Amino acid sequence: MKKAFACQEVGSIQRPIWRQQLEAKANKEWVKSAMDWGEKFNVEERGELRQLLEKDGSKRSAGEKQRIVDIASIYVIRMLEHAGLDRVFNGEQPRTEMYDMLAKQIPGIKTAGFVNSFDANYFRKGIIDGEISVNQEGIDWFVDEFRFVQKHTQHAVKPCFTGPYTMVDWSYVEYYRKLNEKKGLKPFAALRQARADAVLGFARHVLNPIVRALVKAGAEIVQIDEPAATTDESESALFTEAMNECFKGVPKGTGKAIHMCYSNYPVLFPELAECKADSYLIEFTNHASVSHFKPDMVSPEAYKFIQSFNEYKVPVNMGVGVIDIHSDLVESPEVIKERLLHAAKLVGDASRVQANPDCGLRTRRWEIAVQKLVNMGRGAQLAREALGE
Amino acid sequence: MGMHFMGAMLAGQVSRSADTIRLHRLARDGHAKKEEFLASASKDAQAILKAQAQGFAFVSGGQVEWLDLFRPIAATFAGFERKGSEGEDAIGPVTRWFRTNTFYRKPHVNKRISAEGGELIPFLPKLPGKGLACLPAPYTFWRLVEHSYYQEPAEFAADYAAALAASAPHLKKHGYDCLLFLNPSVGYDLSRNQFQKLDWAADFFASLKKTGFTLGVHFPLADGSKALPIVEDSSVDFVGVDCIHTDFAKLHSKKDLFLGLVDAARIGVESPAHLTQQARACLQEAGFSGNFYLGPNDRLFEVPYEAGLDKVKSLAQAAKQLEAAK
Repeated sequence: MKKAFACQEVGSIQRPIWRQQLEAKANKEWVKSAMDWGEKFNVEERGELRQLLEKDGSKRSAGEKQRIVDIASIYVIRMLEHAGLDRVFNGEQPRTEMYDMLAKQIPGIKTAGFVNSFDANYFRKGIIDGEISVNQEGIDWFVDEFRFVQKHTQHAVKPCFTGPYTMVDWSYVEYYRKLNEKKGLKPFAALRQARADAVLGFARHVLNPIVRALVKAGAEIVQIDEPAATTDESESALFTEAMNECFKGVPKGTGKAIHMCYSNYPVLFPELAECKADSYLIEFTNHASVSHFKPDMVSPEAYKFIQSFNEYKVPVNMGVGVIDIHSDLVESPEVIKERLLHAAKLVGDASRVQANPDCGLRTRRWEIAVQKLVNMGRGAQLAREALGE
Repeated sequence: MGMHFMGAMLAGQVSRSADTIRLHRLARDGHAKKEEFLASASKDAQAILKAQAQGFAFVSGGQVEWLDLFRPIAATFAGFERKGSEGEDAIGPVTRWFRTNTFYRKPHVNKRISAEGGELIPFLPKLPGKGLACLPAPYTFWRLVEHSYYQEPAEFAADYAAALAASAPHLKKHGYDCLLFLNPSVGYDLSRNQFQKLDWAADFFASLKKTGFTLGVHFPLADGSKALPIVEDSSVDFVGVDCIHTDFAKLHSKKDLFLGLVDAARIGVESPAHLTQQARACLQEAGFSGNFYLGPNDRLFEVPYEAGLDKVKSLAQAAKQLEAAK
C-alpha cells in the first residue's frame, strides 16, 4: 500500500542572494548566512562554498561560478531532506526562471521581456519566430540537471519543467500566426490556430523528447508545470491533447504529474478525463486562513476539481497545496493535518493524497520556507497517525 | 465623413521596466526598500507620460504603481477586509485575470464602501492636467470581488460612486479630468453566456457626472456591438470597444467612441499608418460619424515595457496624423 500524504515540493525555492549575485563583491553577511544554513542542513560542501564566496565575484572563473550554482542545488536538496520530504529536486537553483530555462534551449524562440504575473512576481515572455524543436544539447541540459540531483540524494527525485500550453501562452506566436494569416484566416482565427499549432509543436518536438530522455536516465516520475492551463477554457481539449503528447511513449509505472495553480480547474473537464497523467499537484490553500481550518475555506476550484475526477471515475493521485506560498504566516502542523484529512475525505482514498505547497516556494525567504516545509512534514505525520497509520 | 478625432488615450495599465522589476523583486526578498521600487516605477510613469506629449486627449502614467486594478481601492477605501502579513500586498486570494497569465487579489467587501478610509491619490501621480484614471467599472467590480456585506449590486454601485465622488476634489486637484471605467467582465460573461443584466449603470454614471469628470466606460474582450447598449442611455460621455473582438458592421452608437485598437496580443509595434487606416476602416464599417478617441485594447500590461512604450509612441504619431487630417 502506498504511503498516505507523501510530501513533496512543487518546484522552485528562492535562490539565495549569493547564488543570484555571482558577479558581486565578497559580502560577509552572505557568507555568514550561507555558512549558517550549511550547518543547519549539514551540507558537506559548505567549506568549499565559503572559499568561493570569499572571492571577489569579478575574479571568479566560469567554473567557480558554476560550482556555486551546483552547491546551491545541494543546499536545497539538503533543505528538502531536512524537512522530511519524500520526493526532492533542486529548487530550480540552476535555472533562471520557468519560461527562460526552457526557451533558451529552443532555437525558434527569442525573449521579449518580463511582464507582471502578480504582486512582485513576473514572467518572461518570448517571441516564437521559427519552427519549434529542441536539439540534443537542450535535452542533455535537463538530463544532466536530473543526474546531478540523483547523485546527491537517496530520496526519490522528481524533475519538473514548464509545459507546452504555458510556454505558448506566455509567448507571442508570431511565426505560426503569420503562417495562418497567409492561409487566409482572419486575425483572431489566425491567432487561435497559431496557438494550437505552437502548443502541439512544443509537446511533440520539445517536451516529449525531454520527458523520454529523463525516463531513460532513471526518472521514476516527471512533473510538467502548467500554471496557464485554464487561461482559455475553450482550449481544454488542446491542453489535454498536448499533455498526452508530452507523455507519449512513457512506460507504464512511471509517474506522470501535472502541476497547476490559481486556476479555475473544473473548466478542463470533461476533456481532462482523457488525460494520461496520473497525478495532479494543485493549489488548495489560496483562499484559506493560516490560523485555523474550516472546510469551506478550501479553494472552491480545487474542491470542484477533485469532485470532477470522482464524477468521471478517474482515480488520480492528488497533491494538495497545504501551504500558502503568499504569506509569511507559518501554518501549524495541526492546520496542515486538518487540510490533508479533509482532502482525503474528498478524494475518498488517503493513499492517493499527497502534501505539497500551493506552488513553488520561491516567493518566501528561506527562514519562512523551511519552517513551512518542516510543518508540512509534521502535519502529514499527524494526519497519518489520525488514520492509524 | 463627419467623424471627428478627439485624441488618443492610454486605457489600462502598462508594464514596468526591467529596473523597476528588479527592484520590486529585491524588495519582495528583503534586499531593497519598497521606496526604491516606487521611485523606479515613478520614472517609468514619467517616460510613459513623455511619450504622450502630443496627440492625447487625456494622459496617464500607465498606473505602473498599481499591483492590480482593485488593490489601491481595496487598500484605501473603507469597506474592504484588510488581512495578510504584508499590508496591502496581501489582500485576498490570487485569482486569474480573465484569459491572461496576470492575476489579481480578490478583495473581500465586508462593510459599507466609503472614501473615509483614505484617498486614491498616493496611487496616482500628480499630473499637469487632462489626466486619466482607469478604474474598475461597477459591473466588473461586483463580479470579481467577494461579498459578505452587499446583497444588491445597485447598493454596491451607489456606494462605490459616492466614494469616488467624495474623492473627486482631490483627484481634480491632482490633475485628473477623466475617469475611464474598465469593464472586462461584460465581454467575458457575454462569451460564456453568463452576462447578468443589471440596471444600475445609468444611476452610477449620473451621480458621478455631477462631479464634472469626463466619463468613459471601456469593454475589453467584448464584441462592442453587444456591450454598448448596456450604457447607451446612461450619462457616460464615451464608450470604448475592443477592436479585435468587435463586429463593427453591427455597431451602432450615439455616444462618442474610444477605439481599443493597439493590440497587446502582438509584440510587433503597429505603424502609425496602420493604426490610422484601421481606425478609419472600423468607423466606416460601423457607419459612425461622431467623435472618437484611439488607444490600446487595455492590455498593455501583457506587453513588456520597451515594446509597450514603443506602441504608445506609435499611437502618439497616429494621433498627430489624425489631428492633422482634421
